Amino acid sequence: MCESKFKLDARAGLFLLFVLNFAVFSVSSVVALGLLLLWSAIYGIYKKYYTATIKFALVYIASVLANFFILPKCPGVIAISFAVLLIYALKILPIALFGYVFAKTTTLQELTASLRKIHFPESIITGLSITLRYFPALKEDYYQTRDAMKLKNMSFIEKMSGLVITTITRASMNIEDLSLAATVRGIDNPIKKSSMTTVHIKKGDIFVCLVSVLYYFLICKEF
Amino acid sequence: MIELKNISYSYHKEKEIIKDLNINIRAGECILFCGKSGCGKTTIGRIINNLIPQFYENGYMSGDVWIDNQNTKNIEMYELSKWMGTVFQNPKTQFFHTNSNAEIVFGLENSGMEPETIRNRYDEAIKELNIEKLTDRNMFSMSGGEKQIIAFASVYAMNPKIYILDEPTANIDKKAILKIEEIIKKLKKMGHTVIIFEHRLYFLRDVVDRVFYVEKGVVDKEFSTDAFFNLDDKIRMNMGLRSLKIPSLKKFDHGYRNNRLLEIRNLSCQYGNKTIFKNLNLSVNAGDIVGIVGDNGVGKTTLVRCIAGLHTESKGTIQLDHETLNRKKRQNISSMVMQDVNYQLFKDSALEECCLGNNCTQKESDVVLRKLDLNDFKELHPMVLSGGQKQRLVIANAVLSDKKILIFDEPTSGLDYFGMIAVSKQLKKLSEKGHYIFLVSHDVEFINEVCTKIYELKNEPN
Amino acid sequence: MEKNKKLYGKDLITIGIYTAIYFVINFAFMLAGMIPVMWILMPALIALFTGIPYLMICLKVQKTGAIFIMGAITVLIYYATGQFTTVILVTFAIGCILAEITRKVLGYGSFKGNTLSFAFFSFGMLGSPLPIWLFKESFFKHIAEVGMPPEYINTLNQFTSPYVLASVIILIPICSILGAFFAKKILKKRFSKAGIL
Repeated sequence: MCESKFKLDARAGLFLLFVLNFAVFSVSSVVALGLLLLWSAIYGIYKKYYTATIKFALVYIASVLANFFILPKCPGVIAISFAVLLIYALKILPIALFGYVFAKTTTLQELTASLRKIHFPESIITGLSITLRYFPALKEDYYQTRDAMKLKNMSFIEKMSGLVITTITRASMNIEDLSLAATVRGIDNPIKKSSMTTVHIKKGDIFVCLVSVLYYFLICKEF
Repeated sequence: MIELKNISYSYHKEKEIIKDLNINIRAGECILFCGKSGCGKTTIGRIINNLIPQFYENGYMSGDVWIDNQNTKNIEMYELSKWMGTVFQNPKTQFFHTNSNAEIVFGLENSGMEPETIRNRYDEAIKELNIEKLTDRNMFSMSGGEKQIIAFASVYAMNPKIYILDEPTANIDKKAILKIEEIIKKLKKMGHTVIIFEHRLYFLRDVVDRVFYVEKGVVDKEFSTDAFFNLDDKIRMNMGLRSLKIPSLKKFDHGYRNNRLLEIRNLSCQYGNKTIFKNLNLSVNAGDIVGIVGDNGVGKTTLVRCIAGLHTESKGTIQLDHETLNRKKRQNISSMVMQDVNYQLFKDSALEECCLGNNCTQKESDVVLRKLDLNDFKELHPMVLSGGQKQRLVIANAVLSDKKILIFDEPTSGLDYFGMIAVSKQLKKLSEKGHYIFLVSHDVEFINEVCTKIYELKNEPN
Repeated sequence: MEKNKKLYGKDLITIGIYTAIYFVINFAFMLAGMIPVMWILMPALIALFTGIPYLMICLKVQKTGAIFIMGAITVLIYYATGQFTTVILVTFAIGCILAEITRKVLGYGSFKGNTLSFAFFSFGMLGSPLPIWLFKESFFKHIAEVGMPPEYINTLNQFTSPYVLASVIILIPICSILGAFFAKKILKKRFSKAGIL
């Protein structure tokens, strides 16, 4: 990504996600939600996530069309249950797009540094880092286990219980090894941990936050 | 500088693992601890870096460890981490972050250092270890060797005076071993104390100052570097030690000649659009043990996965006795012993494990378990077995399922000489029974010992 | 024993790893929530299938805060990727706090206590379908906006009746208890000989 470009501070991002959440749940008209999505889309386009932005927009349009044209023709129960789900989807889309771009453009190091700055509990930061690190490990483990299972003639039940066994076994071993490696590198040091990545709130962050909040506010008021 | 005084240690009261150990290591020395599996050297390492008793609280330890005239008993692990760093043997399970940069500075961040200082230390580590191309990478996209080098960098950045290396090369390839040799040389030059616990010895020839041979929890013999690396091969083998010289592949001929044939013809494999290898031809007779060798990333794993029917070929055929085998059929007649066998143990007792997926009788399973020395353990949970026993358990299952193709992926990683010979014997027995055996390994000594032919995969210039 | 109350690196790593396993199962059901009925049942179904990672954390980290951290990680990941609403944030906070209190009061080693705390913890996910009831008005408005026939309003009324909510609320602890027993049985059967419990 282009370095000189403006980058939203992680704290500002989390704050906007929070505000957006309230905005989304205080409006219900399709137009208002569309305008909220538009704002997120601008963020996405600015960060050059064109495909993702287009996909979200298309899902939005498809949901709206389904809502207006397909559902009213369906029998009552189905129509209503899907209508609830669809309107929920419409509400989630602006948040999800913002969150998607935010998560893609913010490294874990920046997030960690930001959380440390606002004195977020270190134990949660550590836990979060490990959880995120373990997802790809789980995926690797799963593929290996699946390979091994393919070469054995196992029933579905055997496969499921086998998967539980290998998952827990691997988890126990990983906990042991990771704990050793982390302990000898001083994870239990009670001193406040620091970050190599430095983060600071820039004028631009404040500006973006103010404009966004104002925009959200106006939409909520109008609709 | 490091002094171990009257150290004894046991997990249970009766059985002592370390007996009255007294060792003195001077500053700037490079020490190698070697010995058979289970001789107690890992335990010694953990005692020196204070994991015993601070992390493993359940054992019984007596005696003291003095470092720079301080008794480590009263030092917290995080304090000790400032002057002592440890690299462990398994590259996959010792990194904390997904991003290599974050991993390198993990220890520094833990000590609450100023960001500016962290950056300087980081830059220095990258420059000194010459690892620019490993920066800002996803740890999961790296080879085992690369991960291990990041583990070194992470410790190096903390700038400790003492380095403890616990089998750092057990799971990695030739190229990474050379890199690690270079790093250790550098550490020595800088005046650091390096203590290495290893099975793989040859790469340490120009590095170590003294060698301790550990047996049954005591330092049985102490060698000077010259004396040690010039040990007679016979004596070395009797001590259970791996090769002291850089082993080179011997010359292989064509393997067995018989009329039962597994033929791989014009085989090509791809991952997505990326060609891994193409037009590969290889014929294997029943009883052959084929060593698949080649650099990292040339597709050895893909080749054996394809043979086992776990990867779909994009072109070519695999035939057994002139009958073409599709993917499903290959899966039915193949078995694989993975590098990490913990992925393939699915049951809660060894007996059930070896019967999984086949309808063998009690009698048959008893015979096989006895032949593989597993009879005494058949009621135990596979997880409590040793690495070698787990491996044999997977073999037992393969034999009982009557699998013709057997694939071994790095079966000797982290094994001493006796362990390696035991695996070779196992493989030779399977060869006599007419299995088609494929072996992927970096262990040249082992390949020389066991293979009947080799196939070298090369990077094809596209 | 002051020293042992603190959460050490090993404890946090244990929590982190089992939370990853919990999250994967949770996420799978989140995706299944695309089907309307599944969405309402989701909190209960998640409770039924996540007993193992939850109990492993309870078993391995018998200290205050373990479950709170587990919940916080889950919420943070969902939140930062925008798939979570503020409603869930609140339900999760309440669920985790009640779970922690239960564990403390009934004892960290007690299976009963852990099962009950699991039931509270599982209420956290109720926050996902809860907006159906909380923002009922907004759904009515929407139905009118897209021009559905008025008799549909009746169906919506049934759909969002307090009885449905009540049955979901009853279903969650039942499934949690079942899930915990199920998990205990599997762990006992499969791992009692393995030396990792």
